[in-house]
Amino acid sequence: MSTATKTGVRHQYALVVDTNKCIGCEACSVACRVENEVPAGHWRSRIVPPTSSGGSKVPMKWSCMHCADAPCVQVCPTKATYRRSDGIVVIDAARCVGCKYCIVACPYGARYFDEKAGLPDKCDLCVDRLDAGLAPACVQTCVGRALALADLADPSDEAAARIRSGEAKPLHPELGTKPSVYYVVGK
Amino acid sequence: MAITPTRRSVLQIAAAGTAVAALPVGVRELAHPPAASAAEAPGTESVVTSVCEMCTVRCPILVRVRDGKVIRIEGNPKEKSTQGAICARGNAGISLLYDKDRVRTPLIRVGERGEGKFRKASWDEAYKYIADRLKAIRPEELAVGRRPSASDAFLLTFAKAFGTPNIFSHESSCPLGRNVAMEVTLGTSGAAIDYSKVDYLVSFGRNHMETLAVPQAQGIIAGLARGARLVYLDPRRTPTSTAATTWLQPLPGTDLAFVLAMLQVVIAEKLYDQDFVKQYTLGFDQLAGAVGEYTPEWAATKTGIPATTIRDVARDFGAARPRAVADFGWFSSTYLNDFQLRRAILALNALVGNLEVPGGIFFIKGLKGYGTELGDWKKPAFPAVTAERVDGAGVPGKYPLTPVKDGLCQVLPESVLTGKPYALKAYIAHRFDPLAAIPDQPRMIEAFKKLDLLVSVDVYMSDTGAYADVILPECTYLERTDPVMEASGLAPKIRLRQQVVPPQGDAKPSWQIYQGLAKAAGLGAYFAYNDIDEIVAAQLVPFKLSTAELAKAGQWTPPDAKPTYLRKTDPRAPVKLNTPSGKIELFSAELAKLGFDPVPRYTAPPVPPKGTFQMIQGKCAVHTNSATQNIPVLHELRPSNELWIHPVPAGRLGVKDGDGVVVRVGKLEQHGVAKVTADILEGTVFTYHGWGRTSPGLTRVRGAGIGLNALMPVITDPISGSLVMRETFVEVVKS
Repeated sequence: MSTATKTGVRHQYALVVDTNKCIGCEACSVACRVENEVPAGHWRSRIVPPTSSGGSKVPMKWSCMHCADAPCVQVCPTKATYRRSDGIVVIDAARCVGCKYCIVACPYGARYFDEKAGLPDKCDLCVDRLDAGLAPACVQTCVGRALALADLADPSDEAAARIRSGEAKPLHPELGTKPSVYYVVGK
Repeated sequence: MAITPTRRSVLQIAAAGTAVAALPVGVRELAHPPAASAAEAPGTESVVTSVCEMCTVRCPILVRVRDGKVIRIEGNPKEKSTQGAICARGNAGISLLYDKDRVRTPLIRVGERGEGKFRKASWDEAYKYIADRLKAIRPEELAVGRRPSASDAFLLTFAKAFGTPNIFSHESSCPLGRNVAMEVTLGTSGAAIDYSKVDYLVSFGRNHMETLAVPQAQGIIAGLARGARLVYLDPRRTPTSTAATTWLQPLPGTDLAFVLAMLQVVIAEKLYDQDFVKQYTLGFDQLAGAVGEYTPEWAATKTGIPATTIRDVARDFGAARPRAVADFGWFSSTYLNDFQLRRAILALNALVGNLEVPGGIFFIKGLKGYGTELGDWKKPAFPAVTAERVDGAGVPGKYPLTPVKDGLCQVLPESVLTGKPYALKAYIAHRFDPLAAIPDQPRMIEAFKKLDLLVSVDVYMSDTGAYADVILPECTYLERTDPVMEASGLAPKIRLRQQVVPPQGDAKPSWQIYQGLAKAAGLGAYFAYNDIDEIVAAQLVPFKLSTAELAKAGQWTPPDAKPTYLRKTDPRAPVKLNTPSGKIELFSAELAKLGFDPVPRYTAPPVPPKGTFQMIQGKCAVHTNSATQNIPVLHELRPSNELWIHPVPAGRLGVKDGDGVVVRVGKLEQHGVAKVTADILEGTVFTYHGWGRTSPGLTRVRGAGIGLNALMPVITDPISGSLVMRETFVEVVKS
């Protein structure tokens, strides 16, 4: 499934996080925060730091996984949350009633509630930037060049090749939500 | 429930118009951005090239402006060493710019020093207040201190015009020891590492992935991705430990033993570049003689790292030459043996002949080498200075090796409180917070209270600002144009930091502040310019380059200048060093004459007395020294620091993760929270630098975390004049 854009190019987006190149510096967190005018106290994307006792041994960028079978989409009573044909899960603010079902349903804890707007919010892969032909803010600012926007509809896309080859894997696939964020772990 | 339109819905409405379509696809050239952007249609974006100032690295940036407000800062993708990246701090510049805690108008103290009680004043009143007090003192009784910056010229011109020799930088609390070691060994501190092409990098606590300089980190990450190795020594697990191919945990202060043993192996096993050593170095035989006893087995007893590991690293290092580099580090205000550690590291590099080859160490190829230097604004000759410096920097018999542009920033209290060699009476601290940066805070406070005049020029009311008589609000880097700055590397390069938006409130740039102060003090002749544009134009005259041309890309390299390694094609090419011998001085006659070891020898760090811990500090990736802790977004990311302590001693002390702890040195104490973790050695505790702040003007961070400057005494390295900040031992108890 992919979408035709103004230029006629079809896209199927995913995000590849190469943890070998991630240094956990949170440049992506702040770029996202500023780009999307995320209110104080909230983040659409953060780094989960590594620990020596349990947990991840490498820093993990953590944000909306843009699942193909997204629980947030399923539970939304007004169909405000939906998955675009290019794979990006977005919220139609005009339809959202702020019931917070989606926040509870997300197994990745990727959503927050914007009290001022009375609405849930989360990463939308900087869809405004994508539509303008720009990389998401996190990808653009990444210090280690660890983040890459993949287009699975493009056979020549290098990041997409890492997904197809199985080198980049989703986080907690056992949850069955078919995430679109893929991690390269291990040297 | 009432539904407020979100930004998204607003954008959807505007999508057919200009807001989204006008996102940056190129760089607009704006000589006077505020006026120009005000004239734009509402919602239209413009992009201004500039240079970040959230840390000292100064990455080139693109600043997006809409309706007269900065909405986003990105890295300038034209810069190859950063590829459009900037760090969390760089991304957070907007959060500093619009922070309500910023000082927006000159302030004159009304309360006691340190109370933080001020009244608003006009610039003219503030200038007159300062000038009147300066008229009452002798020139040398004024001291100025600053973090070196692109605006330095204005403060320095004022100090020199006033006639004081007492000019200080923050360097003696950071890289001074390393710099002096490089001056002695290589003849210059202007050398850098060709990180992206290094095959084997050994880092002695230079925490590249966390004490972040984006070009360095990016170079190393790219190297690792193509198979380069990184051996990292640090008693604490850091993001660099995670990135490294090998992480070793030496006992604090013993890195020198590790390096000496590497030297011993490389020499004994003839792994060094004999031709290079012969042609480019002085004193190999003396070095070989000195390190003969420092076997890996010996070093193992000092460092706690197995001899086989040390030997393996030395062999791998030798085998990787010339693309093997031992990092000479950055922060070096650590132990009394640090100066010789840096000398030993530089010797190790010399042995593998990595000078001026790809993947090695190179000298900065500045504008001067190409026969072109930046111009300057015209000013009269400065008055001759006859008084000696209070710190002895550059003075025979005192600190002859300390550069006079830096001096010893820690001597202020000694001068003020003892009158030796004479008492400083006035101090201007420019974007520099001695209380947050220099040990023995109580004595610094005592000295501040005794000064006739203390002026803080800053964006916030810093801890020092709270003690000041006058606070002058400098505007941030997004609100001012600075003089053109040099950013040379393998090729010469200049960059322009240009004003993006008008200053908040009544804040002013340095070029105006010191001009105004000079006029009030009768020194206006030294600042005979109309505005910063005139200065920038004068600087560019030698290059036949217009400001508009420079502003377009944000940076510029002379068209005929190419990245240059002097020994890339001819390994025997002449390289004349600025040392007395013209060679890399493994043996330094200058050091011998001054009574210091002419070749590196081992001196052990002091051992913590029973019941105390070795205390180490570091920087985190989202803050810069003590400058950024109060910035809203960065404060949110890391609002405080913690005391890292190993589970074994924590268990002994009954301290659990998250418990309150008291960190004590004698009668002095700081309160904090414990982070119990196996990521630190048992006998060592760690905390991030920059907390324990006291200023009422820092509303978010005041009172949070542990500040070690409140606990540490001033210890000074007799060779370089650098502070020594790792030889204080602390007691830890549960609070």
